Amino acid sequence: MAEITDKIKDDVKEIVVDFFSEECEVEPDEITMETHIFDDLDGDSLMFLELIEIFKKKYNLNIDLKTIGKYSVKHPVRTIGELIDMQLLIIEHEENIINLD
Amino acid sequence: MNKKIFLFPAFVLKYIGSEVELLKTNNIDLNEKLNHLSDLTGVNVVDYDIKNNNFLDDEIRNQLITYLISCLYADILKTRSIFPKYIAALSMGLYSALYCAGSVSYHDGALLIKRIFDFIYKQTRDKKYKMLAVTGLSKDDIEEINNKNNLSCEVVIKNNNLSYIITGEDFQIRKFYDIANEEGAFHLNLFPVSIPYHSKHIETTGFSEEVFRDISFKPPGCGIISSVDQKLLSVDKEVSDEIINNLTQPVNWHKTMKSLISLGEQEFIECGPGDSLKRISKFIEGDHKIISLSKLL
Repeated sequence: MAEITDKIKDDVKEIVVDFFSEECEVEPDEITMETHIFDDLDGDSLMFLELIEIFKKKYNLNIDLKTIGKYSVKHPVRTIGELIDMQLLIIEHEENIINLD
Repeated sequence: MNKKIFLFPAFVLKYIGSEVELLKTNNIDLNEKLNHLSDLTGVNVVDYDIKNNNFLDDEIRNQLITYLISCLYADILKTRSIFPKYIAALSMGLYSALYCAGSVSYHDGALLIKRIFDFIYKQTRDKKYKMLAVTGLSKDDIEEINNKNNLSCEVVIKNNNLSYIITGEDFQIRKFYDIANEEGAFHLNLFPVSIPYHSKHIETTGFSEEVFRDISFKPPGCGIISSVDQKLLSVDKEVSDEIINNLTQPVNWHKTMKSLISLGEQEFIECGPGDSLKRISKFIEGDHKIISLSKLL
């Protein structure tokens, strides 16, 4: 279980925004925490998976994609803010994320 | 001569929105083309409108419109002196690929799509079939769901290591959907099709006589990579065989792209409406970039 520092929070936010900015060809400053990934950015589930892979490598995370899939069914992610929050939970709890409410 | 790799999509899942405008700016009268396509196939597509009546849920109309736009895109590229070095097509994108390579005429390509649809629809209409895109599960996960639940859904397209298309009878696919959702699939998308393309459910007895009558095949003018076995098609017999193989055997887009990348190719042009090939190219190993023509011009 990793402790989520302000540095990690900033890094995660920067990586998520830069990723969607490049993938969806929008300026980073147009992406806010309320930006809808699917409606506003035309994002898709493969982008979501790619981002998870980036974080798995960066933070050396031990978590099965299916665990994240199961968690996502209960806690669907729609906005950039929600996605950042979920990534932070993944970094903090890894496989144990499934035991969270 | 500027030579690139042309990739042809099967059908449109979602338009970018610029497709018709792109044709207009290249002085193409789409209404005239739609009228011609309707006359040619007997399928009314004249009311097509990219925003309000785009046939995304209409299996045969979607295929025909995708074919039309893909062929027009290929023509636009050629008028700009950009020619195909190699061509690859996903699933039903094969017919626009054959047109682009000069193996069939535009007329014959459209007829092939309609005849093949009619031929398969006749034999499968009594059983309801579905196709389902599964994202976030591996092929082993899919087989495990099949085995544990006594299902026989077939993996018919491998997009990449984390994205597959499966097919089977409607009730099996719906059951698979519910189980895969519980098992942690990231995304499940039921396609608006009723035909189990690329599967063992398709019977081809009498196919050549009915579908290929009066169709003239020519050797491809450039290399077409089979998305079934990744071999290079070079003679006309291989082209007609590929049409049958493409209908009855699983397609491996992942391996097809890897074959092209292994030839030293890194830049690809998605020659059709939407950007589905660009999207599914994620998780395919090797340096490569797919440019969607709809976004380029």
